[in-house]
Amino acid sequence: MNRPFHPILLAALLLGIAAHGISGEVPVEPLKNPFAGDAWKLPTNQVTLKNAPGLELIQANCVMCHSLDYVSMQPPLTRAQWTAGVDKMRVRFGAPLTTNQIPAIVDYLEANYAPKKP
Amino acid sequence: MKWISSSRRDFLKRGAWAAAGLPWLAGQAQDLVQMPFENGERVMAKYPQKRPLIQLTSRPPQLETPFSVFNESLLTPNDAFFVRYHLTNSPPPQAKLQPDVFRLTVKGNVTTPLTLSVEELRTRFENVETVAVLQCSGNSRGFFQPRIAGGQLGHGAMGCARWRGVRLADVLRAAGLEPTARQVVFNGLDTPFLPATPDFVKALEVDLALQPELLLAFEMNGEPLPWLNGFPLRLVVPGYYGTYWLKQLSEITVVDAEYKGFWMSTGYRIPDDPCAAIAPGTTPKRTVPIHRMNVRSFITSLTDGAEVRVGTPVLLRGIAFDDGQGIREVLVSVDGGRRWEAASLGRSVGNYAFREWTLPWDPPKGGRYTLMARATNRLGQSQPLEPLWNPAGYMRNCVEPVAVNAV
Repeated sequence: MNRPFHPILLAALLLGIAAHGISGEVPVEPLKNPFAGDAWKLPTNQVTLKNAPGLELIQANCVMCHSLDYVSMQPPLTRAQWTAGVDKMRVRFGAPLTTNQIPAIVDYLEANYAPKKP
Repeated sequence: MKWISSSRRDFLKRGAWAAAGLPWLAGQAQDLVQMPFENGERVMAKYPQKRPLIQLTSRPPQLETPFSVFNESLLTPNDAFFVRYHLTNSPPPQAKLQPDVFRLTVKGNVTTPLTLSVEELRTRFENVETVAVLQCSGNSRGFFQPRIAGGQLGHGAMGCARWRGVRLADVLRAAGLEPTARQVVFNGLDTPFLPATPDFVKALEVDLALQPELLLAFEMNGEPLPWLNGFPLRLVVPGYYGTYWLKQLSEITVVDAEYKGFWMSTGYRIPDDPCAAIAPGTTPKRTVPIHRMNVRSFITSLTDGAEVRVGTPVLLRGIAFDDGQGIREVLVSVDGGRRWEAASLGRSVGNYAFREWTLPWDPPKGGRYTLMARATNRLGQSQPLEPLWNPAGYMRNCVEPVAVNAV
């Protein structure tokens, strides 16, 4: 009934004990390098946001640092919450926004994200 | 009895973006998943070394474990383990992580600064293992009411793994702490795009850093750490939230004052209150850095909306964990919290690990049942029946009801 151990891990542990006598002793085999022969790529699919007035400001100031699912996954937020979020990007994270650009971005976010339930 | 999920919490559907009516998505057909809160539709995305996981964001990657995984084994498989990065250039490129390139430096208020390859760490210091839960501070944020901006996570930003590495304390002692040492500061190779963005750096008090449980880990569940979980080296801080478990850890600096970087002094802070909670929508008077995890438990064998059969016994099963005191008791209710019965606890694989619980249940008649699990640890700390609230959406640990139908 209980299955606290992964069978492969258990086998690996037993092999380890067999090879070294005591669990915890320094193993002799070299550390595996998971990158060997592997060209790893992160997926490139990225969301785009609704085409509406204000989107160009977001493209110019947000995408350099993060994907736009940071916007699209948010729950319906109040204007105050969106404003706090965008201002945090400017003040804390150094987004190259001027304070007078923030209302236009918040207008866009408030109008388009998250879509209200019908 | 087999450990098989009778239903799926995460409802999968297959379809192209356009067919799903999501014009803002561009790409190939992929599975989508609906999280059980508003605006909870997510892509199941495939990343290197990972099975398809619930994608919150792609750059930097934030990936959540499908909840059904927690009913499959107590140790969370590496390819299903959640991923949470903060900075644009994450995970760091492979070129910086190769064995002949990657180095950990130990510096600051130490008598002997060190520069070590992972191989040197591994062969110079005693290798130890610990089974411990890694949980994101914001796990379950999507369930907060009122909703909070941030990573809209279900319950899948947690996992339990067997970590293998060397003791941080042994390495710090090898470097030799100066008497003035007060905090130990940790930095990884992930970097921001803009120089003005604060680097992701975290600090621990020296007394905590010298505890033998803390590891510099290079293996997870018997394999090298996955790239997205910190290869080749990460900090393991059992009992503490994941924010301290730095990935691609490359720099340890001992300092003689409180470290005041953004991610300690502004980010990852909680109300300075025993429950880290305040009235919803209000602002805390005083905050402190988030630290130890609270007690949680989950029902994993049945999910919301599942059907059970009258007269056919089922084994209710789940997991419980805390910050390392150890789980003393899990009580289970099948009637929405009116009566509670003690579940059987599975064998402990360590106080910092997931603890299995089981309870046989024979639904007596048809109808709707609200199942609940509530864990208590050895200090007597337990879970609130109603959710608590804080402004960043951290530390949710209330009882999570699961409604099922008996037919």
